[in-house]
Amino acid sequence: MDRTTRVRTGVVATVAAATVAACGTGGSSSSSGGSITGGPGVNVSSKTITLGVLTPLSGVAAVIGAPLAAGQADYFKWLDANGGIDGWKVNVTTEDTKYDPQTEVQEYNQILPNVLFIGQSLGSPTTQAIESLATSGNVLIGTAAQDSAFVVKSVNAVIGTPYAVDVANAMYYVTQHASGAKIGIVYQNDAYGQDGLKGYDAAKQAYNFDDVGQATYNVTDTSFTSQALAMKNDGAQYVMLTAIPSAAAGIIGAAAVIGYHPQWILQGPAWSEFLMTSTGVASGTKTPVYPVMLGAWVLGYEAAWGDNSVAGMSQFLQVQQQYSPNQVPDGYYMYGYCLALMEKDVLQKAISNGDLSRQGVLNAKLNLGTVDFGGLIPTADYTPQLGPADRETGIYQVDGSSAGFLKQIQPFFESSAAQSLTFGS
Amino acid sequence: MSTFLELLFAGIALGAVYALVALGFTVVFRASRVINFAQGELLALGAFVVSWLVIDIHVPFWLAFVVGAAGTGLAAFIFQQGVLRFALGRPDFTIVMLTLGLATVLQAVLPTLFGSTGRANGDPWGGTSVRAGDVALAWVQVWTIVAALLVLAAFWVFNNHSKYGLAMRSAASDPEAALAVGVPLRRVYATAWVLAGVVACIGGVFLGGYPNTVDPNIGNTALLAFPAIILGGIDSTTGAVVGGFLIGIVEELTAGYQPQYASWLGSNFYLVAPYVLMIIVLLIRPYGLFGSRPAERL
Repeated sequence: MDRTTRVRTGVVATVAAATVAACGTGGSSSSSGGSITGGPGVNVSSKTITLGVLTPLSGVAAVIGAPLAAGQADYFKWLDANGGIDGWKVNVTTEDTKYDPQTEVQEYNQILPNVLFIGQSLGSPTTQAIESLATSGNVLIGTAAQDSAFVVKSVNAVIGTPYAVDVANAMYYVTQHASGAKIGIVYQNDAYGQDGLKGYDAAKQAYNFDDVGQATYNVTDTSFTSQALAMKNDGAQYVMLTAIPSAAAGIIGAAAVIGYHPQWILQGPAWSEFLMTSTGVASGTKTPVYPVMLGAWVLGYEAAWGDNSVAGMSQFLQVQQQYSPNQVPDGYYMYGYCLALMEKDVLQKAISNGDLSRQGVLNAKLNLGTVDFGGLIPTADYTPQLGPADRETGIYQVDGSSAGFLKQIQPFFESSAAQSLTFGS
Repeated sequence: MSTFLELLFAGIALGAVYALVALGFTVVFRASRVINFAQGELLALGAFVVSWLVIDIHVPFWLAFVVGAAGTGLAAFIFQQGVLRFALGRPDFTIVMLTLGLATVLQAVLPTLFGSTGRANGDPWGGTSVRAGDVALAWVQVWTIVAALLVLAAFWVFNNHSKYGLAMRSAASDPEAALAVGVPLRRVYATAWVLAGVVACIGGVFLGGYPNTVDPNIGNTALLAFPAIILGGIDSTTGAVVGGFLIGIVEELTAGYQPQYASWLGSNFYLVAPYVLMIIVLLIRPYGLFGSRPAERL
């Protein structure tokens, strides 16, 4: 290669690199009469924003991840088909984390250069695995986990009620429902379980209830006899389960075998309609645990599926029927939809601020204010002071004849223990 | 006392599954001197096929069970004949990597075919139970133990009183000498894989019984059976069985009593206890309870 060729090659390479760099950072453009600063995952010329979704589509938590990702993706599809956000379209890139923190980190690093922010990271241990990376890169995370620790971090955008708050509210409800009742808790041996325990302990201090026993399990367990026997021998009349669906079914089923039938209280992620039938709807084949699940309480903060008294239900059902007509009534699908609603508001604010850089999106989230979900979940507040988006919980009962097998027995409420819960160090 | 008996029974039932899984590992190891890392996925495959036949196709459970076991054995046979046969004589590492490859393929294929949500295994017992004095026994656990004992008895008869059993033992003892006297080693290897597939299916179906479900992660249980194999002696089918039952009982009793009497050991100690037992046994008997000490020329 002679000198001239080397120089030409160098010029071409420099121009190419500059072009790539311009695309990578998104450059800037004019939108709605104003200039927009872009960033990774933002194509200002085609007005397209790409978000990353890291969720378990296989593994123990796929029963949560699959509908949640579908609900979120369907909202953005509907949004794009209806003009987008001020003309901006939102694309979603989805990766399967298998609910494994190591896989989550690998996939985070893989998709990061091409996304504006992480539109969904499902799970406490998985989200914790990428949190420091996201913090150093100013990357917002749409956090689909209600661990209390997340609500005091600026990079986490959380909707709904923290696990600890849910449990504190539930324990208040029990003390009101049955004064002097003996209560126990079985919790998953990780950050998720510890957060449930935090709310349980806070409620115990506030209401001085009779805590007769605590037991743990691991996600790899296949036998739950010891946990069921521990609760039975302790005489627990009400048992809180901060668990995942397979473990909740295992514990309740093992308890039934030994003739132990307390009032079970399931943390939201412990519930799945697939615990009831093969298809998740009433027409499916009943599972062996169907009869023992009936009557259990489930904590949640979402409106009952199909409740048309809720303002946002009509549009929600329209989106679901248009894009996922085979989706069974499922709280996680609704959660994903609501997560997308919040992210749409964040993006809208960032666009109106003229700043679609990662820092601009973070600033938009911190100063978002109140987000109204049309009653699908309680309104949420996002301020620089951080803290939980809301502190309300509803209580549902497993019922064979209700849509999604759940009927609400206690509308959203907020207990004094939940109000006094503090977050962060 | 009833608490102890209930934990003991749950431990025996859990141990029966571990024994079946461990037996599958040992059968392949004896024949080919490699650990089959796809044993857990074969277990999942068998359980899914039986569940699908019963729940979706409405085939009677026992027929589905037979078809599922035969199908899993056939899948293992096809893998052995279609892939491993061509790796004969290659380093053990190559064969191990091929079994890991099969595991990866099945991990990807099973959720695609059967979905990621847990499914009932389709057995006829569901959540029914029977009382024996103060102790409640789930029928599925009773049948797990019965099935495991029947399989183990059948395998003992096959191993000790059949032409192929003798061939497998001779191949395990000295493959070159066995080949020299006319033992069809390729057929022996294929038989070992078929047997491993069949016992994997049986283990998977019972592992997915009430209150558990059949899901793509059910194969991970195979890893929990490793202490059983090592503890019993990796080349001993008797060792696999005894090790499986021992590990199940130790795990369950530790989970039941340790939080009460030795909480300072932490909440995960029941997962560690099988490994502690394994280390203790290996310190006393380095080749496991029933493992054979290799002859060495000095």
